[in-house]
Amino acid sequence: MSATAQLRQWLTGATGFVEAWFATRKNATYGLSASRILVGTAALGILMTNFATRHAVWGPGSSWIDAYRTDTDIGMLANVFAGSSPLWFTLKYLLLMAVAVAVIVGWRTRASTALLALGMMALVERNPLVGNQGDNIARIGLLLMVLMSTAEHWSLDARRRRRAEPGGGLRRDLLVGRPVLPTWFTTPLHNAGLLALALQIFILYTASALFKAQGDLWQGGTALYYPLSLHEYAVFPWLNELLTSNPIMVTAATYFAVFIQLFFAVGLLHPITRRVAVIGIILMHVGIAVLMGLPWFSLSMIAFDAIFVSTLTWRRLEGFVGRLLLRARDRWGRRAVQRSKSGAATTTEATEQTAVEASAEQ
Amino acid sequence: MSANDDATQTRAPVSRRARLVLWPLLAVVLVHTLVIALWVGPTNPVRQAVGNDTLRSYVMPYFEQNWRIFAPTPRRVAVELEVRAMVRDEATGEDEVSEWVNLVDGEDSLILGNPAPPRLSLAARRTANHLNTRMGEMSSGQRTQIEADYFTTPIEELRERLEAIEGSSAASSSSISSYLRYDAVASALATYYAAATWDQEVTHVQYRSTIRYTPSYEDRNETSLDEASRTVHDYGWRPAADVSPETVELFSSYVEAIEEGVR
Repeated sequence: MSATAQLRQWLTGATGFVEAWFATRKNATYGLSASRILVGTAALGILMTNFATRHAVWGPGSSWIDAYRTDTDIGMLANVFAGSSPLWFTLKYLLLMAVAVAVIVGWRTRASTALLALGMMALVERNPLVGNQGDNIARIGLLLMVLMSTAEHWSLDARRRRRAEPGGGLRRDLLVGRPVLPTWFTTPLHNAGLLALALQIFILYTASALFKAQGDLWQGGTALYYPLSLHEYAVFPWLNELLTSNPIMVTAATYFAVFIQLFFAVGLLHPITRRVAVIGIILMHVGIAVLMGLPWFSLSMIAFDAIFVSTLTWRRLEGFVGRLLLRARDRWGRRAVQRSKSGAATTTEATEQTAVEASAEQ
Repeated sequence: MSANDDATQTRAPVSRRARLVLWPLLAVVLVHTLVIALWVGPTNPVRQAVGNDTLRSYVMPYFEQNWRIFAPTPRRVAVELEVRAMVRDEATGEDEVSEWVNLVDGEDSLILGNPAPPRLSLAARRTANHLNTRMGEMSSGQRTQIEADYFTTPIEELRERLEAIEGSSAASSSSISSYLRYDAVASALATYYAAATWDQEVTHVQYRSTIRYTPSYEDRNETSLDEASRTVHDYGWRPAADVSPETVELFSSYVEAIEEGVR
């Protein structure tokens, strides 16, 4: 076979692979369902932990930051949370919390996801002084998720679609939330969004690692000691002290943070290194969350790492959690039986029924 | 996305329509990624060829991001923002000057023991960060201007005075603008704090910022952050910001939240 023929054959194979990946089916629907739940939880967490001080940080009591606000240009969105009425602000704030819950439970997911992305942007940009990069990655991820199907699993949308009777025309399809656009369009769109998200994560980790690697303190293996000594990151000072007082721990953790990010993208290429990369990066974020008091930043990051966990692993996890829930329900049911002798028969029946339902859902 | 997914993938024929959609989509994704990568990365010839303004117009605000977190140097400074106010005693009509209050101490107390601290634990702290940075850029002549009191002279004149100072060590016009923005933020923060705390008419406020370095790793057993020497930046008196009783009331959740730590 000539060289050109070989090249042509290779090209045909490569194009075939790309086309099949894009058009055969929507990829990573389990991982994306996990991303949806986790990023929704991060948004809800931000809203809840700032609820008591909401007026002073973003609301009508935040005019102390006015001089800084002129810096950001988010167009019409700037007006969403403006205004001097605390009641009106609180109502909008509560509505945004409801949107976050809708994203978590997967209710009208595509619209809810878009609303959460724009709503959180409108809110946090009211006070960019106190924001962090978690806001940015959450917004980027949520916007890309609008292109994807993120409610295929563990969602109210999926349950409604499962239960609905077939047929009924366009209006019925919209009401139930069944796909109305052709799959030759929606499947490639989903996969394009997924690819963009994955590449965004690669850029994020690779850049973070390379910028760190330039620094003397990172090279010297003591970088983590410095921020962990500050009151700014002293949620549990004794825990930070425990880590920084041991030179081996400091250096190991400092290098770990650099290398796990640097090799994240290439690590995904092999099944074994993929597990090391994903578990390692999650551990790093859990460390940041606990030691530095940045839980929502970390959760926003972990949310999108979920797309790199295989469908097989997610299904095993789903089965495991399902069995746990089933056992808990079972135990609760049996206790209820013991408590009420008179209603024993009906309670057992009900327990059995939920058990059947639960196993059918798996 | 993973190897396991691929194993079950069958090569069903891809429709012509899907093919017409997917290749342009792939191109869009790749161009988008290239733009993001250029934005995130350091300056290089490709970035210069594309132009910073072109990149910015695509990235901002929806894809805004910066991954130089703790890099190349991790955060190693502790800062403070202290405020005090001149309040008018309504009975005597005389002005009284309050004690200095360190707002960052209060914010520290919001973090200690709280696994999910609210964002206001960064309000005075980050204001102090920016003020310290800007003061580092000012020449000594400019600092003298900043340290001057503005009791009756309009604060707007400070800009002209800062810009009038020439010389190689003088801060640029954009740096001066940035300082004046944080001057407004710090003055407003001080005014709100004073109005919510002392319940009297606030006429003037003053703030000052400090900075100290975490001792180097080698010296960690000999000395601690709290013993580290502070560099203090002083600023003159400023007119109180325009505040209404309603907004002061709404701001007071911050004052209550940090109360324990400033005492």
